[in-house]
Amino acid sequence: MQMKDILFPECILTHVKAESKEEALGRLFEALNAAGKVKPSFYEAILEREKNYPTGLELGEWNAAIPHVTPDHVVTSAMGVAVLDTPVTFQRMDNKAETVEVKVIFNIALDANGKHLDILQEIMGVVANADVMRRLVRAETSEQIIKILKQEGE
Amino acid sequence: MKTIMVCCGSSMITSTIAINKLKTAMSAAGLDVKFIQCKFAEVQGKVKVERPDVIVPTGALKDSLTDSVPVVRGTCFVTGVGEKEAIEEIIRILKN
Repeated sequence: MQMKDILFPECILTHVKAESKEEALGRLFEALNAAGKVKPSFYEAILEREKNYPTGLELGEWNAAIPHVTPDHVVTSAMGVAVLDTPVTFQRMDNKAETVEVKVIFNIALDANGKHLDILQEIMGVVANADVMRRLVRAETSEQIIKILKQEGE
Repeated sequence: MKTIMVCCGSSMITSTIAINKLKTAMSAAGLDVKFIQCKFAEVQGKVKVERPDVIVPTGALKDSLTDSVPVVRGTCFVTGVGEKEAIEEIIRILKN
């Protein structure tokens, strides 16, 4: 299984207008849930985990967050992506006391069957690549995002 | 044989990424290393039993849990930023 196998246009959101991480994560949950990828418990589980173990990553130009939960809240593997019009505040993964303004959220929902390591390496390769992040932020449609991510994954 | 404890929040996602990178780095450095993977919540108990040489948490881990075992922050293995420095620090601790 590769990253391209868990990208679905209906779970990828561009021009998201959200005032808070809760609102942004809510939009992602609605998309993932409507597509049948996650269980109703997913949203609460993501918020709870983000409170205890935040996932905001300070990357420089455009910052990202990688919220994720255990497979029991997932129906079938998918990655939700949200590119926000205006960044929202996340706590930092390496220091809960600090915050980071996040422009792109990669909401990783992996089921218990997947061979996860390869996918995770691919996702992290994308997140850590400033050029890819720049292109993702400029993308107009979910199809464009998928195209960028697929190119990078190869 | 040296032991590295790699831990993360709960889903083993980020610790899996970190272990994979550390395996490559440690074998490149010619070090024979055993890895222990666990959740933050398990660190306090496991640290007493396993006595790792270094703990690499991918996120913020409370100092009170680590029983004075050296800690090298491993968030860099997720972001890729500062990876080289962290690996050097881990190798320095292991060779000590």
